Amino acid sequence: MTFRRLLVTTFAALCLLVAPASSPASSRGFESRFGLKVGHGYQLIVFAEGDTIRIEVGSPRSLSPDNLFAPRSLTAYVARGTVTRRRIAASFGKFGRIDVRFHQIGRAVALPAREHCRGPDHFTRQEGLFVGGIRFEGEHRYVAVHAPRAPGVVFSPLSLHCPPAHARPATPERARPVAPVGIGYSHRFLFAFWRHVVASAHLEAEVDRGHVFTSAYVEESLGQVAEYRFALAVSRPQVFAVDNALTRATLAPPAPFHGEGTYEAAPDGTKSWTGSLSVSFPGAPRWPLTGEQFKVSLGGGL
Amino acid sequence: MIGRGWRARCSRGRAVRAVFSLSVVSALAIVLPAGAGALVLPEEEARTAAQFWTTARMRQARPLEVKMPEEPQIAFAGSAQPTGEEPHVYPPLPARREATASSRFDQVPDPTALDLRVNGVIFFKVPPYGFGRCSGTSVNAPNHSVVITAGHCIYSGGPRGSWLDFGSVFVPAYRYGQRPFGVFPVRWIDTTRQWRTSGSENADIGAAVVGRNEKGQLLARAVGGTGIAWGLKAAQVFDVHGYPVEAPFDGETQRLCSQTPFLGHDVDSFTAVGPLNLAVDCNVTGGASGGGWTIRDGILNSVTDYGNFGDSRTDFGAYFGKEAGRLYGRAGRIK
Repeated sequence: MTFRRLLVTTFAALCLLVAPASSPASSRGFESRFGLKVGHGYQLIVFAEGDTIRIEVGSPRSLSPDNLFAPRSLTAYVARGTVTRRRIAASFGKFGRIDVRFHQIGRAVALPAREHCRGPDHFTRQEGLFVGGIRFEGEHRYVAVHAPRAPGVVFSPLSLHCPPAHARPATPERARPVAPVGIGYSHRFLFAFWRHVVASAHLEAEVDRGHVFTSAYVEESLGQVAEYRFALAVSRPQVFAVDNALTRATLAPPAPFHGEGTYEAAPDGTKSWTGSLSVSFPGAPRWPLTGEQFKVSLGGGL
Repeated sequence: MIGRGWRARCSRGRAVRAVFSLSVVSALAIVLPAGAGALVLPEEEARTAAQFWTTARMRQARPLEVKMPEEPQIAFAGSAQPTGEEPHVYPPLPARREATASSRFDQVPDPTALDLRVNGVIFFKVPPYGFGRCSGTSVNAPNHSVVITAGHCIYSGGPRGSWLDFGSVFVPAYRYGQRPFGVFPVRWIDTTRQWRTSGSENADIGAAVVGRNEKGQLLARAVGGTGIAWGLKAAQVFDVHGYPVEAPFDGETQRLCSQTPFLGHDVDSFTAVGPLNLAVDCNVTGGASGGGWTIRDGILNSVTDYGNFGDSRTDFGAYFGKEAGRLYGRAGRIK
């Protein structure tokens, strides 16, 4: 796996986790979306699909799918609510409430049609204004939004089924050995995680072809709201030092991470993961990434 | 039980879960189209199933899930709000006892006791792998023959799922191979529509209608049946029943976590189809899938569905909403 692919995979994994699970009717569905700049360098984007409303908060760079090598840190708040083409309404508990109606502006724009589609062959984008009440306050008011309207769009359908014309059904597995894809280079990785009840945290660091890819993923369910936090840093290999015996490693990735974590494996098999390593998410600065609650593993090889 | 049984899962585990599902799909022969209705089993097949399940075969039945690592117990203060569902409550048949609070999955002293004999084991064949098992609960219904369990104990889930319909039987109050109330062959199975069409764990609820036992008795006439409720608020205090097989258990005894409160919703349930699911503190393992969660007065209000990697103490169950009510209604009308 190339480094860029690794990044793409991770970011796609985040999107997959936060995005609502697609339903069989997704080809007929739609997604509504609007955004606001909310001060302190943050942007807020609201996504609505099915019966799920998601608020993502981060810097414009963190929320952008472009430049996957850029450091990023974002927090997403997810709640159930009412989503129609004309209305989005959901309570985010202590974080606020969204109740807006969509007023379209101009005509819907049909994006270029695809070929060989089953069902719809193009996406449609309808611009407009979401009008009503948008009230959101993050933890300790790191963002506070009270807005009566926001510009946005409604995309439909959610997906197209347009396989390439040359696509063929998968062939049966062959008897002769096939070289596995994605191995043949040296790498090191550290994985630490903890989980209890409806909260969990994951930290991953991997050195590959001259770069260290560090990501942290934290999720928690708070009553009727789920919170997802994600951070990513790409850096030079020196930030992740691992001995050849895989008994000791230090990790000190750059922002949005802070401090250093130390992994040590004793001869009796016990492992420790200590230090000052933390990460700053929107609304959760210096979130600790070391300690006894983490299960940790260090690995390496071809 | 198999594949998607009470199983460990990581939070980034959609891919992992997909692999589990695939293993089930490949393991089973009968594949019905998405959204297919309930499955009615031939009467002869149902009769022979009861004869097939000897004590030795029951003891061979295994849950085929991922094993959970041990984790320390951690308390968590959850919150809950009303769901907006219309509450429905159907009363139980027998009287209930008072429970003492425990989040340990303790062995019950006597599974044949009036209030515990409704809980049992569902055994089924998993060709070519062997024998599988789940937990289930006899529920009071017009036909006196309904067992409620997890959806994945009935159907592997999703649009390409498969029915687990090979010689299934329900054995209430099972204990060390003993069948004090006989063996009830399964003759009709179904799940929530959402479980069949989407495989969403929020809708992981199944039902079976069983035939008469060797003495010609109907299930609820023989052991009674719990009441059932749907549309209630999520914040309930549950008695979690089941027959866990994987360590530290052996599947031979009925277990109970008593008076364990709702702790919150799994984060993943927010982005899946169906009502948000429920978490409680109970150290269940594989085999406990489908075990009933009862609330006050012995009313069934959820079933064990899954657990997560790294937290062996938390048990997740589906919220009983309208879909659960419809499933119960369909099962209860089967003659």
